Amino acid sequence: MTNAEIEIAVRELAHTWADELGLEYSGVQLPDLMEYNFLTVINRLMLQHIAQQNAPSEPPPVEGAHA
Amino acid sequence: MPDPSALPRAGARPLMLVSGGYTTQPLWAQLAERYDLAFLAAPAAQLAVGLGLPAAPIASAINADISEHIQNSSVMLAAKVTNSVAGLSARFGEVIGHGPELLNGKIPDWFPGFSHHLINAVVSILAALDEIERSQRRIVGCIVHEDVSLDTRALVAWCSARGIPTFQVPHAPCHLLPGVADIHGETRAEFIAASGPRMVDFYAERGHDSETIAALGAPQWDEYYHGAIPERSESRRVLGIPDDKLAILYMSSWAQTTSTRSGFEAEFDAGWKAVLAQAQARDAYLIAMLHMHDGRPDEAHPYLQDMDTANVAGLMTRHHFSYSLRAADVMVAQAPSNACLVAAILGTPSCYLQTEDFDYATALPFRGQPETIGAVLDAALASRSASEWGEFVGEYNSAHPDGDAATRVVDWINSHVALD
Repeated sequence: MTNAEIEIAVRELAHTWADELGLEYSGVQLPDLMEYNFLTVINRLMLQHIAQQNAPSEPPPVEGAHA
Repeated sequence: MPDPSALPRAGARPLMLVSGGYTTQPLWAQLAERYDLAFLAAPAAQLAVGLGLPAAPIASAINADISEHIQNSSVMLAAKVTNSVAGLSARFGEVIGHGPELLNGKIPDWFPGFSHHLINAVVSILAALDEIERSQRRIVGCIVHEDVSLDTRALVAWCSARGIPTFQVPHAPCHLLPGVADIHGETRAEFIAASGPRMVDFYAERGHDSETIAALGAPQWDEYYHGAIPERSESRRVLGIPDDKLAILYMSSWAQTTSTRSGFEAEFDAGWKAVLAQAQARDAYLIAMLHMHDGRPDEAHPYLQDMDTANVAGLMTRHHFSYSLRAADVMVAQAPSNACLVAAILGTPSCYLQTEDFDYATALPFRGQPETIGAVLDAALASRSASEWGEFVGEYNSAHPDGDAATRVVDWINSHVALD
């Protein structure tokens, strides 16, 4: 899956779960309001994961480092 | 002077809910001719009161009893999340496989607390609106800037559930290509005050009723038509840029956290290095301008150090936007930025570095990759004073070249608000 496909799949999953949960207050469905925040945190985690996968397998030597 | 600590309750004037934000600010004074203003953002309310407008924050409706009710309700709702989070965690694992650990097996550890934090924020807004409703103040409309985040969507959802008209005044999120999914196309507002024909297309293509979208202009850009815009020589004098030197303005970008597209830091780094190399090769003066939403502290940016190393004269700033644009011979943006439009309004040609799934729908501005930015810069420099730049602005700002978008937007909102 591409990153965009993962993003869309995760979003659909979160919506489905939230709809089943039925969080509501004052006539307003809450999960739809929180979509931006969910997306943001999920994407940040995904980006960290992608960066870790793309990182060199062996870290570069650190000059001046001491045990 | 209105009391800034509470919503004005006396009088029969209708109440207009406003999110705040710089795109709505040019509307406030004209709106206040008909409505009292209740702001989602407390600083916006304070600013409006300071301007002598009848305004207060929505949160001022919350008293001690309501505050306790908010806390209790939030805990009860968050408990529902806790009770069902195991199922969510299992489904995430099925979708993303070997994804980040926190999304693949650890969701129950952090998601309920995260949800409670958000639920408390949204219930606070909705409870305040309920209290305003109970106080017999008549809410006749709601104006938001980008109702994609929790708070602005809460305003729109609460009003929509009660048949109150809702209006979005976007900041021009119209650089996504057709067919691309992104939260910015998913406004929940009933009416959209689009800046121009291209923004109408942007929302219509994403399923919004074209009958409820109007191309009215961008109110936040009115200042570039009516404000005191400095001359080129004055801008260069203030910024310390020699008159006879080519000046390139580089606009940095910020990480889009609503999508996983683009190369992010690596992409930014490649773009900056390409622009720096161009400035070095052309013996140009380089202005590195930080994006207003770039959360990193100035000192964390390598721009000045890189310029010193490359022996390129230049400066770094987060401010002086108009001065920088007027001083520059050309602007290059790290993405299809709205800055390209402001540059064109002020007479400076521009280009940008492309990124995944984003692009202007028009032929201008010029665009390219780090490898081709030299030729792109040449094309942009040769286009200075070309009439096509005015046509480009008109596609994204219907108020061009007059710059009276705020009046158009307020008149349009008023036409959809019933006062009887």
